[in-house]
Amino acid sequence: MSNAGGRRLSTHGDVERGEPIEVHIDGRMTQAFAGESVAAALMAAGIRAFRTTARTGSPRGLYCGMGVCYDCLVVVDDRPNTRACMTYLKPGMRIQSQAAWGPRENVDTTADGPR
Amino acid sequence: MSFERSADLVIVGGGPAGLAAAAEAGAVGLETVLIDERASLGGQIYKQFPAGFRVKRPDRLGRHYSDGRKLIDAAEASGTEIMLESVAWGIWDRTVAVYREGRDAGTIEAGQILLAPGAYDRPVVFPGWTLPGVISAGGAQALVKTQKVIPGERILMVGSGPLVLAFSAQLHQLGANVVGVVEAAPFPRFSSAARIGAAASGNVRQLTEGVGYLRYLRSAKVPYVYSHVIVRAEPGANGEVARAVVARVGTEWRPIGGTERSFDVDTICVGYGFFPSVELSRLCGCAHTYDENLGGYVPVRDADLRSSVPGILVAGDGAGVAGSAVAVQEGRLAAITAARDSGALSREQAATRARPVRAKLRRLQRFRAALNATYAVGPGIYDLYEPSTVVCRCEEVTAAEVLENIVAGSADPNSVKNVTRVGMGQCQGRNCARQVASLVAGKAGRRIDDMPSFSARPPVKPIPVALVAEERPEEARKAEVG
Repeated sequence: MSNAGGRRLSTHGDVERGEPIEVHIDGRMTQAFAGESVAAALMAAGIRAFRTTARTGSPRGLYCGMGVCYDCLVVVDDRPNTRACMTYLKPGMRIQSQAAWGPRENVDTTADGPR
Repeated sequence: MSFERSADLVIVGGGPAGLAAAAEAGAVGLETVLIDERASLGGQIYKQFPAGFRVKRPDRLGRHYSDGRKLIDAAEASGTEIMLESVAWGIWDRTVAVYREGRDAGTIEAGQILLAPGAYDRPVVFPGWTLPGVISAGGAQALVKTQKVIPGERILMVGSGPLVLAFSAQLHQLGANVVGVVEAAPFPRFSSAARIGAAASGNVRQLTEGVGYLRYLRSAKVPYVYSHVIVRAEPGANGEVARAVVARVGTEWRPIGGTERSFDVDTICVGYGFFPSVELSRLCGCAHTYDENLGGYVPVRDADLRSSVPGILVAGDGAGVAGSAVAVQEGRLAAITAARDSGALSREQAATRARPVRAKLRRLQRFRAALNATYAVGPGIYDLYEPSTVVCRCEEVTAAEVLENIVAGSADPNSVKNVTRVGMGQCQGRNCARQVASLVAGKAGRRIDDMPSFSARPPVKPIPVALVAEERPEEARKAEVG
């Protein structure tokens, strides 16, 4: 399977995506492909606001895309502050949007951020 | 879990410079370890498809793919030990501290250290730059090239230089909807075209590629606007970017009032060049100098690529942004220097090996200098903010908060950092340091190249504090407050 439609581009047979896998994005079972980064899977699913910030609750998403900016933070398998751009999917992985320094549904804005 | 080991040469960074250095170091018999934070080799420009993807037609993936593959194959065949998903988070003298998430941590005693950390997209502070959908051009390119995912449905490219041109054309070729390309530099005048053309002798491939991309975008009817910069990104109802406002600029990249025009978009790719990653060279205490066209602070090097600190060499974009072709030759030259300094090569052997490398470097640097002159970054790039614009993305500190907290008479960004937490977040100032330096410089009536940077401290990337405490008790306190 080379082209999954939508924001996944056709690879014209030059490259094949990895095996289809399922991951959980904010509790929803979502089709993705082995080898995709968490950021790519989110973007392909049309999700571009990955988290909200601690101080002003502003939405943030993929910015530098290369592990420098720490803006694409999400919760992966209960591990908060995980860079979506530097983390690769595993079958059954649970990805959650982040609010402040934890998962969105469990907001604790009083907690101090990681230093 | 921890390890302690040693090597003749530790290379930090697996991009073009690091890979070429590894191949050369292996060829001259240095016991070499190469460390990279990513899961695969190639750095940004030669980033590979992720594990799980299968390459079926390598011949159709273009020159970058084949060039990168050749470099990686040579490095892997060189006998160099390659440590991936490994962060070099600190260097003390010649000891490199390494953290491997989920695995272990340890130290490598190095005979010499070659820093080849590469560069990252210049963060440009303008109203709306934190909105989802505003993405660095390099990050967007990686997403498209190696993940085959597009960042949005209506993409505007803003920036300056040949990479913006190349990426716009590539994106469109792949089927993405590029609604426009906004170049800050003026339409090339005859003089700059002639300068680039004259310097291009022996660099014909780079030149013809650029012409080809321009012709492609013209035939695809993608609007190409010169002498304009992004001035604002505006959100839609969903809180993501919905509109990009650009304006005509004068010679210093300062927007001219009344010249604004807007594009309805869902994605803005921002590509105003790159900043060298100088965290490690600064941490090592290497002398640096400031050159805006090389990306800002760059380590001072001698003709053999030694830094000012004995045993520390620097190669590639991390020593001044000059592109992958220069990086490859610098990687080779640095490895030859390391071999000579360790006694693995005699002075004569090293000179013979280095001669063709130096010749290639001279030719490439002529071309680069012509490009830099054409696409020189204007100082207006630092004045696109409004008072309410967030400068520090991590700690959400606005320009107004920075300006209000500049201690009267102070010309040191560190004093603002202590009061406002600007630059204290997880990116450790990589995104905001220069903008803060510019704000402080402006208030102090000084120039940005005359400003100190935020102090360099380990760890250069966030790591568990417990790990620092275990590995380097004397550094734990610093890391906690850093």
